Formats: sequence, C-alpha cells, structure tokens
Amino acid sequence: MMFEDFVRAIQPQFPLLTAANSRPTSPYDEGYNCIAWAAEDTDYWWWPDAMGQHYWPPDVLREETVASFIHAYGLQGYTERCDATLEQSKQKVAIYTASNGKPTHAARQLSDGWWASKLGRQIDIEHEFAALDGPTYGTIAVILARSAK
Amino acid sequence: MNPAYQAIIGMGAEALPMILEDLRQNSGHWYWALKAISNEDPVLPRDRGSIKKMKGAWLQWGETKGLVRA
Repeated sequence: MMFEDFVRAIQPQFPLLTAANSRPTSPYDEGYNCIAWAAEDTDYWWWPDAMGQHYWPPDVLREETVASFIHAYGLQGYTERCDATLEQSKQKVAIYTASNGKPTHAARQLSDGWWASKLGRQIDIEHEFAALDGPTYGTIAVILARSAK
Repeated sequence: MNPAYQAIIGMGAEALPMILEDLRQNSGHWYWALKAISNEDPVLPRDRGSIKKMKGAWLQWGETKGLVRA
C-alpha cells in the first residue's frame, strides 16, 4: 500500500493527517508501542495497565494519568515542562490525552522539528506538530524536555 | 476497555482456545483477558512488556493445558 493510501485509510481516526504533513519511517513492529517509541525503547510495550501485563517503570504508579506518564518520562530525563519550539539543545516528548484526561499517545520531537510516532498497531511515522490531533489521540496535554545527548 | 474485549472475557474459559489461537496467528493483545480468565500468569516479572516473551509464555501455558496445539 502506498503511504498516501495508508493515510487516506486512517483519516477517519486522524483527520488532520495528510501525506504532506507526515512520512513513513519504519514498518509495523509488534514489540513496542507509541509510549515506548517516544522513549526510544523498541524492546518493550509500555503501558501502566492495572493487570500488570506490560512494562511500566518500577516505582511509577500504574495508573492511566498524565501524572504517571510525566513520572515515567521523568525517569528518562524528561523533567522540564516546555512548548513545542525546536531547540537544538533539548529533546522533547509530547503526551497526548483524550477528552477524559487519560493519556492516549506520546511522540518524540526530531532534530528537524517534526515528531516521531508509532500509530497503535500500525507503522511508525514522522509528522508535523498537531497532525495527530483528533478523535483518536485527543490533543497534546504536556510537552517535556531533557538535555540533548 | 473495549466492550467486545469485555464480552470475550465474559465468555470465560470457553474462549481460551480461540484467544490462544489468535495470539499465535495474529499476535492479538490478549494478555489481560488470558490473565483475567485463567487467574494464572506464566509471564516472568522481568518479561512484562516484552511481547515476544509474553506470547511465548502464554502459548507454552496453553500447550501444557491442552488448549492450543503444540
């Protein structure tokens, strides 16, 4: 499937996403999810599920709250609240929440200002800021930064 | 939780062979359902979140129980 066709197929879930404001980067890999991908971990599926089935950093509350996600990324060094402005001295992750306030997704800013996302059980893409806003992921609630490596 | 997913959990042990087969063929994320229905958990704590190891542990569990073909 061409990327344009893929984007067209998922547009009901991501109405702002187009082939012009996004690009494919890697094929689907069942081994990790968007939260892990934002943390640059491709070995584990991160989620604070109450059943304790997926990876969640030890000592971080297993609850689907922004506070829990901020804590989890904080342990990766992302401790500074910031905006989406590209700053070469910083790496940034964005946490998305649905209208009920629950985290739904995370993305990692790239050196060109676009953002890296894994789309659920789909491929990884890079996209412009806010291109994934909509009914599936909601909107970006928090952006966190750490010093660039 | 997705209502369809909840409904399958509601089927109880009857759903286990179907769930395990889907896990084998499609890598469906059935881990919550498997634990909820079986009240068991063959996944080692250090393997939580490692999809490949979780899948292997549950399929091995299913084979041991005779719920999925070896």
